[in-house]
Amino acid sequence: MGAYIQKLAKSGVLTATDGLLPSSLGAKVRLSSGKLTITDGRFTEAKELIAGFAILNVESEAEAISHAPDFLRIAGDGETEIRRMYDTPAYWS
Amino acid sequence: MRFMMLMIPDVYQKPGPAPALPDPRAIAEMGVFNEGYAATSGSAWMRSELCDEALRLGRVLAELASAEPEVHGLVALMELQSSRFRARVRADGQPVLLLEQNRALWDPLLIRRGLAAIDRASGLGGDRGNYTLQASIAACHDRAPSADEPDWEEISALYAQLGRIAPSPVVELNRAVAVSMAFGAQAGLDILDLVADDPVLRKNHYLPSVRGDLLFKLGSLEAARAEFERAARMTRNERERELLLARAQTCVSPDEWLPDSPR
Repeated sequence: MGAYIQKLAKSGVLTATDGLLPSSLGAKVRLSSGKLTITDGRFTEAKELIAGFAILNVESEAEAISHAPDFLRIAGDGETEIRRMYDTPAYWS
Repeated sequence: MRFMMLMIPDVYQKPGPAPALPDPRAIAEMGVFNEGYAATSGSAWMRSELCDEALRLGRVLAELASAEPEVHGLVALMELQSSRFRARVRADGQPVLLLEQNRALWDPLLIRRGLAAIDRASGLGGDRGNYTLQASIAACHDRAPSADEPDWEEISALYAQLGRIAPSPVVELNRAVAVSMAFGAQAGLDILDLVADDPVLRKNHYLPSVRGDLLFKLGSLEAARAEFERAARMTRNERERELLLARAQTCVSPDEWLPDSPR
């Protein structure tokens, strides 16, 4: 995994990636009509949980999709959701 | 172009632990239903929206756990109790006890659904459980040709069965009422004597209410009046208190107490 990530990072495609620990080590903070609720993990009610992410810098959605199988083979059975981000990072403005 | 890839592994997508046996949820649901059926405090004799919601959840549960006889028993019990809603309160908010209810106001659709749910529970075999027994007791009143003709001997026997699988002073109290109808007020009082010191029963008004009723039937009017007044002091439901005080008053002039006449 490390070698693959390094290769992809050096090519400029991979901007950032990391994995997430189990939800039992996390919490949910919810704002609803101005009222904050804090719930400790584990998120038992969640149908699916995110275990990791990667930010890719590519030329097209097709290219992003083309990287998914490699990630999945490393991560194991499951699915990956690919979402386009704003071209300009929010922290630039 | 920037994309974020979110990894969602299958191990995190498993639907959680297999559904537990329905008992805990069923019990919680029953709590909602009971609170709705005989609101413990406040002026509303019952909160029908709570009951409707419990019944809806129960029907859903019965589909999800259709092989579990007690789920059908629970749904049957709720259907049958819900069928009495319109008969259970007078227009002025006064509660009407089961035997004094106008049966024409019972909801025949809910009764049919309740009886069918009992059949489903029985069809799954095995001994009848707590809810199925309670529903069977309720059903005795639906199957009776008229309000004063349910099979009290059968109801007594069902309460005895219920007392064996789920011993409780409340069940004994109900059994005492059934036995008094089947075998006379004294037989009922004998059962009440066995639970007279029970700490749970001493906390609410049901025991003195029933004792008052049975003593009244035996003609012990002074003792009956004391029990009704004690019960009236103990209930937190205003409507019930009015009813009990009215009954205490009838012990002074018993001719005015005609349970079948409209008041």
